Amino acid sequence: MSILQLVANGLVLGAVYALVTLGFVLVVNATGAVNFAHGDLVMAGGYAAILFGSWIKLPLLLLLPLVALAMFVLGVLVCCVAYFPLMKRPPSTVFISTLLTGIILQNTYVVAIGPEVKAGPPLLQGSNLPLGPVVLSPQAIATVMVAALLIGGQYLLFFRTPLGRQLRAVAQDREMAMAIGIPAFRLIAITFGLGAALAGVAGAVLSNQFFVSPTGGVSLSIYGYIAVVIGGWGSIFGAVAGAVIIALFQVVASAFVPYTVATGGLYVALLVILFFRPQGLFGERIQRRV
Amino acid sequence: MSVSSAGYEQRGAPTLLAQPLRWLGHGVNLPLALGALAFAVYAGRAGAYELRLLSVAGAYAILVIGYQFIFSYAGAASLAQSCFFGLGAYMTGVLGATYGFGSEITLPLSILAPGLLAAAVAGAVLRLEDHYFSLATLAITLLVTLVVTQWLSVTGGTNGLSGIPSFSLFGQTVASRYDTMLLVWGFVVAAALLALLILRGLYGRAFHLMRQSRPVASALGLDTARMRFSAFVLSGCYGGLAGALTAHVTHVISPEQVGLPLMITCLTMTVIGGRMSIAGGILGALLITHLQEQFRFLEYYAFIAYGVATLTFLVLVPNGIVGSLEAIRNRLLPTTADPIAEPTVAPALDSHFADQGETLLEVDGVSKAFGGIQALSDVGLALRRGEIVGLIGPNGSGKTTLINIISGLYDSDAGRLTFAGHDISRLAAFRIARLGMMRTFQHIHLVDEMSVLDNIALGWAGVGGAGLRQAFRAFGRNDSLKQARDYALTAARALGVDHCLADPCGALPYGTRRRVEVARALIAAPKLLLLDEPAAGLNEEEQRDLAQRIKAIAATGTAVLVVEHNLVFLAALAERLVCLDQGRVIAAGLPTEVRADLKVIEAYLGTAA
Amino acid sequence: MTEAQTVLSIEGLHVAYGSVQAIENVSLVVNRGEAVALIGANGAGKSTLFKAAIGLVRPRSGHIALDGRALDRISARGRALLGMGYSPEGRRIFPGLSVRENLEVAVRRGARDRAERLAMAFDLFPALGAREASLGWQLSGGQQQMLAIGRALMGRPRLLLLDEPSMGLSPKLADEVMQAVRRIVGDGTAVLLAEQNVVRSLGCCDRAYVLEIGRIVLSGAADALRESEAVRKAYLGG
Repeated sequence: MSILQLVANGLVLGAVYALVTLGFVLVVNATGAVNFAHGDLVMAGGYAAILFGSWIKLPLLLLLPLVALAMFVLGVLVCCVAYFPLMKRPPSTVFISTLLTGIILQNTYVVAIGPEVKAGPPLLQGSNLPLGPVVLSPQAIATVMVAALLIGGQYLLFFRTPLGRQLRAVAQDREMAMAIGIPAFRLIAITFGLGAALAGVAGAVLSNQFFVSPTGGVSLSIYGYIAVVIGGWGSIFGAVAGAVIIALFQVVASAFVPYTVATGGLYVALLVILFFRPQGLFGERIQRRV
Repeated sequence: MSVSSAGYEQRGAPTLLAQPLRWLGHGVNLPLALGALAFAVYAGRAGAYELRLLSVAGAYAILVIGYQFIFSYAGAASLAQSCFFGLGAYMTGVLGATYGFGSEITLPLSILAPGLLAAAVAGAVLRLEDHYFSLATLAITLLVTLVVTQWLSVTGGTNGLSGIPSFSLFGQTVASRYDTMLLVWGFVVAAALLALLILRGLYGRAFHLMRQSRPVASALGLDTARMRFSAFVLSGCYGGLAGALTAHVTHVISPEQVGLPLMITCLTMTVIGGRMSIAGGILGALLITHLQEQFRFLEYYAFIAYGVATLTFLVLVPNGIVGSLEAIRNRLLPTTADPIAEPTVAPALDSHFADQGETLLEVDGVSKAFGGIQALSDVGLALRRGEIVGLIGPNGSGKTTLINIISGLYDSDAGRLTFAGHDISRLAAFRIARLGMMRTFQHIHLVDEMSVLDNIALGWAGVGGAGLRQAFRAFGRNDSLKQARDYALTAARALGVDHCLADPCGALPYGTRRRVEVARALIAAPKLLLLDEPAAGLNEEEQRDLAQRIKAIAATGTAVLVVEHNLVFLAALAERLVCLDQGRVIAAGLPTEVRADLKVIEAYLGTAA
Repeated sequence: MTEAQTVLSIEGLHVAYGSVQAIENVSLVVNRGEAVALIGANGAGKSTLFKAAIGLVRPRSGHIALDGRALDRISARGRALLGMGYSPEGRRIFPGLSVRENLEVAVRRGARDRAERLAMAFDLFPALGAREASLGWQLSGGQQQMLAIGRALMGRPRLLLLDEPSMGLSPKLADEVMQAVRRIVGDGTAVLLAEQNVVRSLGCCDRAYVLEIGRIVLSGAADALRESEAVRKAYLGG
């Protein structure tokens, strides 16, 4: 396989990971909370795609809004259970609660649907398209476009709209935000809903090529976490860049070394980045005046 | 949390009976003693299966106690605990099963290996804050899991190792289930006692302050990096021990015991049992281990219920079972403080003052910029022994920045700082504190649940050399804590807070809290005391009182640098004033001169005052 | 003063933190067109009173009303929307938002005169206009205080609660803030100002209440209080 094809595949995978990471970063930006059940929510989206796909005979691309809606509701539910009751506690507590929520979700999948790996419906049917030196499936192209659309949308939301300003204000000082009239709780719930919706879309999109399983979400949560740290805590573009970097690394490295070595290399690279540049490649620490 | 119990030891040797009786009266020690009794009875009549379970629970108890060092006390959410466990287990497994070494070799190695790993990565990992730290420890766990599953020849890969021998010491094997259980729980008791030793003394108490604010802890001379390092390495060693013992008990080991599943179990036990309590850790381990077994037949439904239960606990019972029991007990039977006796010897001040006119602090050409803003430009000042100097200037003039640079919390971009003959320009804050410079902060950080006396005593923790080694040497007699409390009494008297020594700081009025904070900075008889806006928030009577006390402190030879806006407060106090405006010194000299200086008047009041 | 003139009315307020009685049986009013000072040493309960007024802390008993409307069941957010502005102790501006964004985020969604409101803030505090794009954490204490007040005014409040605005500010800056307070009152927003500095607060306010350990021990017109021996004793400790 040519190196260009490898890079192209890596970029497509990067788009998928970026979709996964988007929802993760959204919640982190708005609440400061790391939702370790995010990957499991991605799986939920995959399962939703499979279920809806079997009930309604439409291409997945058209079913995405339905998946997003269902996942939005699930996200609000997770917020009410794992976040709201623990808002006043140290961040590590929320970390743990989301970890536990993930366990609950994973086992619910096994009990409700079964432990086997399943494949979801494709976004678009069709044969591979040659694009210059590389070959991509319509599925891959659609994936990249969906990702690009959502990434751009999220940036615009956060930095160019009043809602985004309010979300950031809530993240920085929730009590004060309320005292100036911002409906903080509502916004936090919306944030979790949006994050879950993004996760669901990501899960639906990757369900065809990357499959869905009860424990498949764990590594995704980890990758999301890594992407955010590499890219810089709180930076959307940084997280996307981080996601693409992870994907490229995996795809390109896997062509030359066994998969497990590539994964191990990823963890080592993460440690190196944390050691030399803990604020991430693109991030900036907010300095506190002591 | 035992931090709140205000039990001071009485002078003179207590009767043999009084000591254990008093111990029973504290916290939840009585129910625990009863529980231990019940445990002993149960263990005596248990069958092989129950004994095995008890042993495993004991090993997990050690795991949790070790985890509390880094998670609860140092406040860092480490995800490497299961990794340490796994390392210890595999060390014992590989060396014992494959090579046939006895426990006299495998056990120390199983404890050492994770400890070494922790030490090796600590430098890189502990510098990181919060999420970064958690992620780094997670990455390490994942890496080790990967290595373990791939290194088929040594570790048996995903299938793990079996046939691990029982514990054996120089050929003598501990074969029976009952003896194994006794052995494991013997280790548990030893591990618990060691933890008690470390955590209940002055050193352990210092962790509470460090968790609240690392800069404040550093400024009091506490080497916070070393503290976190010790906590992390200890957690590693305890984890390794737990893993080794488990391997001896169950005779098998698999990669699952290295990765996330065990880590989550460890977290669950810590949360449910009680974060800050050693007894809670033991209880959590016992409870969860047995529950897991009971409900094993339910399989996945059990995991769901298990997750829900832990989540519920997390939300509704945050201090865990033991923590909640202690809280209930404290409300029903409030602890009365034992009377504090007079210190038999008032601690003498170090005679580290060479001569009267010795220049103690010299600041020369210091500049500092934040982002694009020049906070300080070419600032200089000097202090002599016993002098009181006021640092004044309008808001934004750089006063707090200068204090932070002097005390070592920031580094200057340019310039030189000399203190007591040492170049402190690039020296870490805690080292500067240990040279004899103490300070207070604009926002007061005290450990609210601790008594006034103990909060003041914390000021001695960094300087008096409280550390792991000292804790070991004390062997439970808490010498450094006693000594610190003695000195704290003297400092409390100097600040007039000796009437409320047993009160928890959280309930005190603001003015008293400020005095406690100053007393904490004073306890180690510093050569230089930096006070950052000490009068803010005090009424006029309190201000006058504080000014008098500061004068008395200076009269003993301590130099004082006071940052203040309040010129009335400084008027009675300062011998010299230095005025900053927009990062530069615009006037310096006698108070009357500086206050009359036109530049100063303009900076503060605007033109044509 | 008729009912219609009373902007804020607090009656029989009790606030406790655990077993510590922070506010005991406090009653006060603020009328339209007034600046009222709440004087007291730290620990007297000024900030607690404000937090109860804005709804961040729930009182044990007592009534709070804004423009005659009872606030007892209304959340902090609701009170802000009803016309209460709050500049807290320590300013608490949003550190990661720019000056402009700090102001904009406080303007209600759907308000049509956003540009005018921002202009009003920059007019009141010209120093802010020069640093419009700076992030909150980059500002000095004085600039943050101005931003906090400006932000509190973005909702066009009927009442502004100002908690210790001059804390940590030089006398010159503090006086600027007090002058701004007079302008704000003149523009139609009543002000309740918590301060430790007796002279400064009495200098810019019409009336004052003196708070000591959670209780109102003295009240009256600023002029009268300024001369009063009782104020000296109660507050300055004789």
